Amino acid sequence: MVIDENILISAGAETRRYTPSETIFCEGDIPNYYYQIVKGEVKLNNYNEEGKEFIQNILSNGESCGESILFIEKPYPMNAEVITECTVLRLHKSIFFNLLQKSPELCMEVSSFLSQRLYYKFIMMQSLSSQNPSIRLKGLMDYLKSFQKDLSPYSFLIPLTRQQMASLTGLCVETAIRTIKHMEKDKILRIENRKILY
Amino acid sequence: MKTISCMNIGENILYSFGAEERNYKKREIVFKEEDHALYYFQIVEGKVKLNNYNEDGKEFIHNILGKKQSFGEAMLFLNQDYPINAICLEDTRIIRLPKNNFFEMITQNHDLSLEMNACLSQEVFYKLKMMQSMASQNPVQRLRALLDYLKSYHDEECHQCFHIAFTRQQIANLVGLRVETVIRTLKKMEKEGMLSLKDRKILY
Repeated sequence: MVIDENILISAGAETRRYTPSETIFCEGDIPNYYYQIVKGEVKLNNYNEEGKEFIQNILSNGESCGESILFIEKPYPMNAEVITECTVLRLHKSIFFNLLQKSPELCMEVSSFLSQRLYYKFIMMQSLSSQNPSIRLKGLMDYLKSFQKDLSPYSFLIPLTRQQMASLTGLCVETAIRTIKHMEKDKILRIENRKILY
Repeated sequence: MKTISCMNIGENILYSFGAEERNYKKREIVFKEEDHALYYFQIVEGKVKLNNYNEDGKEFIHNILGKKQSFGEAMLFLNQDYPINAICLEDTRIIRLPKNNFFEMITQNHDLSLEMNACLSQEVFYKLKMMQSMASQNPVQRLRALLDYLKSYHDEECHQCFHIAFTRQQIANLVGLRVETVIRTLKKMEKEGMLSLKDRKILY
């Protein structure tokens, strides 16, 4: 949970519902709202000139969405596209900033989740700088697993599709599938019923 | 040249909360990967890069920071070790403030805490832009994203007058390309009229 939903609602946040593939905001839009997901999954993505998708992040219940852009005077550099049926709280930017002005605790919490975003990007940038697909995929899986309590081998079920893993690491899905098979042979991961255990 | 604009806390406030100044030599390490985050760091004079080395020893630079900029502050808010190294690019003077004092300072100075959010957002924004370009295999796209980003913080609107004050090697390490590829791609971009090269200077 980022910000307590009751705080948001009593400050005047509205509840909005989205269906899959609908967008919450698009690249180039001016940020006007703070968004927090109550239920459902959202991806932050870009499409390159050839239409290939790059996923910056996949967000779900209790996470905020695109909040970092609220603090800078720039348009969104990405889209927020709904993956599964979503309920989202949205609060106008000016009220959101008023809340932060009044509450040092809230402000500190925002700092922590922005730091979390940044930490993810440090890890992912490093793995993206490699041309080697297995380093890219391992970077992603290491990051996801780092939030688990159980760090023993093959204990973590990767909660992503092959296509999502490919789009998060800038690979073609064919390359991702082939590389995942190689990684199984090298005992880096296990595949059971098509599910990836890392 | 710096990549992002970030925290610049008044030196008097920092000292009043117990900060100390330290001198570092060129190439000296301020912190390295897997160190615990124990201090808030802000540059007085000099330059620092945040980087990683991959398994083959190839360097990737996350950011280059200069005078009156902080670095590595995100890890203070998380209970995570540094995922990066901080290395001085030249002789550098740095103010450092112990973690607990830092939190005391921003708790007592709410405006600093608000600024902190803007600073972290700035860094996230840079990375959003750069990750998108790094996902591309096309070197022109990678370079353009970096140049566009750097120029977007430049006040004057002008055609090919913005000086990219990084070395070819630094540019290569910022976008994850080999220096040979960067040199070749820059020449290609010049031919296509995207930038001009004068006395080895890149004007965008």
